[in-house]
Amino acid sequence: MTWQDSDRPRARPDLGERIIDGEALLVDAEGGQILVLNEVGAFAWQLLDGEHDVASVVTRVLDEFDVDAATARADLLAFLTALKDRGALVS
Amino acid sequence: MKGWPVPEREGDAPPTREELAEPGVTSVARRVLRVGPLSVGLATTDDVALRAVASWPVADAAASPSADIELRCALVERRPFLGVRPGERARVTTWRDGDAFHAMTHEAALRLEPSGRGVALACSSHDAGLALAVQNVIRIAVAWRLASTARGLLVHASAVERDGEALVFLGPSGSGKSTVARLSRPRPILADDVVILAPHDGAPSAWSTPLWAEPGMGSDATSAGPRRVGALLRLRQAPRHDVEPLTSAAAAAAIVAHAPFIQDIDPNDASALAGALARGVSAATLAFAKDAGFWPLLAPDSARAPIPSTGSMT
Repeated sequence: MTWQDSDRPRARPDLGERIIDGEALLVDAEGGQILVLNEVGAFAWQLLDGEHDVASVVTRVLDEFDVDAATARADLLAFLTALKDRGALVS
Repeated sequence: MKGWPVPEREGDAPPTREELAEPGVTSVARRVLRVGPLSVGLATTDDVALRAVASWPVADAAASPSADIELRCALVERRPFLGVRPGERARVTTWRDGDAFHAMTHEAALRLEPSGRGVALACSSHDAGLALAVQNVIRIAVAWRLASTARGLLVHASAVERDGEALVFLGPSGSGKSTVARLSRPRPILADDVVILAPHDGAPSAWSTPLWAEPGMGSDATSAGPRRVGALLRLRQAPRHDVEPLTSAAAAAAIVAHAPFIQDIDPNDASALAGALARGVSAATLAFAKDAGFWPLLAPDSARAPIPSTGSMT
């Protein structure tokens, strides 16, 4: 899937979510799967509310973590695709 | 036929509420069993079911006039249920019906209300099969009751005592849980198949249960009661021993992944419970080569959670 800067991805609201030491534990009872997001993933996950667009999530990640813009953007797009593939985003 | 009717149907179609309705029998024997932090009242019209759990620890019935779980259990017919032979591994189907929880295996069916009241059907061709069916019903009821009341989780794990704490080895069937426990002797074995994880005195703790995979085995702990969890180890069979630390979130995920019937619990409750049980506990994946050589790797400070990497986000 190709993401646009203006896309506003939204996390599935029915997933169980717990932030533990900065990381996120996601429990998908319907899909029978469990996801663990590291600190950056957990931070981005909490911005996937259907309000923030891709560009603004990249900006927030850059504000929060010591990473260059190209890497942050590439990692975020891969992250969104992984979440999409696992059914963790509202389609 | 007296008591509950046998669900006569093909495949995994669930019995209806009517099929699990209250029996019209009044002659019952009752026993209150201790399973980890819960008491389980077992009333039955057939003493075979009571004999199936005869060696289990008995709770103080006077102190618990109403048990956490009340099961009425009946042997319906002495014949193979749905064509599965004794000893075959049966799949468990669970589902929710309003607030009630249902479970059905090839040997038994269960309906449990949120209050802890439940009805169980057990069907088998011989006493050993019935013992398995009754224990399966209790196992399912305990797992659901613990999780639905957010008191803890029943997990597929073995546990060994070290310095008064429990080392908990999480793994599915065939992963080596029993083997790890046996190889850990002379350290006391607390459990070889299922462990109850629940908070106790503010710390994640492990309870032994009477539910053992290997017949004739039982806890050889020096005393009853919960043990503080010293480490959570996720088992993986490998050619050589190795320990790879897990973060707290990954440890919580491992707990959820090894908790049966978790899909019937609110996902937020499940993640909150697992998160609380993993917090502050050393955790690691233990690559394990079926000999006792793994023990030196489990030094008290060898399973610390590393600083989370930020290279990729999942």
